[in-house]
Amino acid sequence: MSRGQTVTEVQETQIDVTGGSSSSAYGIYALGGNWQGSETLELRNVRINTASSSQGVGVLLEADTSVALFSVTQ
Amino acid sequence: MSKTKMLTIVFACILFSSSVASAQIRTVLVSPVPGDPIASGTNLRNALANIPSPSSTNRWLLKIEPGIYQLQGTALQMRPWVDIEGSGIGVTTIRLSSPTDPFNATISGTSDAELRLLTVEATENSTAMSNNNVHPRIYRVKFVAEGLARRFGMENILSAPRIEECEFIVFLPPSAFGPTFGFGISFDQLPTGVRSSILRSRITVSGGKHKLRYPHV
Repeated sequence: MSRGQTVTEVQETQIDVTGGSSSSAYGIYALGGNWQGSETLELRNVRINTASSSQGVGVLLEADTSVALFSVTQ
Repeated sequence: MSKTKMLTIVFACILFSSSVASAQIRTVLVSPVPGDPIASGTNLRNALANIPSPSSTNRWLLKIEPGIYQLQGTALQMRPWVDIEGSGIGVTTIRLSSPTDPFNATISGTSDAELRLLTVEATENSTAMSNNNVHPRIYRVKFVAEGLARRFGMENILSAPRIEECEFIVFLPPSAFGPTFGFGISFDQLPTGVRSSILRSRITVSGGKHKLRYPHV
């Protein structure tokens, strides 16, 4: 079975993460995919707040995943 | 036969066939047992189990009346071609008690089915909803996980849910005996060619303040 990206789109969604000093908190935790670099993760109107903890993570994607920001013309 | 008569017959046939198609969706109503959430949970589990042979041509709706439905032991396993519909968030609540395994989910999803209009809680178990190699639809569901040190609003393994207008609340306890982990939505692997979507939703993970095991006073 070939594996692809774990998350395809997140739209109009709010993520608030406030973990404590001894906790690990993740809004979206996505691992174990096999991103090749040609997939599209569509984020639209997504608000992510992570506060008060070094272990509070809004969105965690697997290692070596890069998120690039491009201007989009519609 | 006149052209008008022919058109009338064709139109009548179309109407008849569409009414037959809609009649193939059957509804099972689940009612709570007043004052007895566990008996209500048993009613729910039995109602779902007793639906005969759901399929793409024999679709069913399990409609759950207002109340608290407390399952025992294991997750409520959804079935393909059976949508589960509550009476609203905070109005119909499903939870799991006395889990046979603390990592049991309250509800286990499936493909070709939708879960909607209810609250799913994990208070004694780790996970409100788990999906394993399935692609369910979820609409207007509130997931609350506040059970164990490792908590999931939704755990997906090889699964691509379509999540719309849902709320995920994961509350971490004060950690007196070690670290705690909270996940709003987790994904672990996904085959190519399927899409996982989170639309118009809110994910909140909070808590987990350190609490001294032996506080000095």
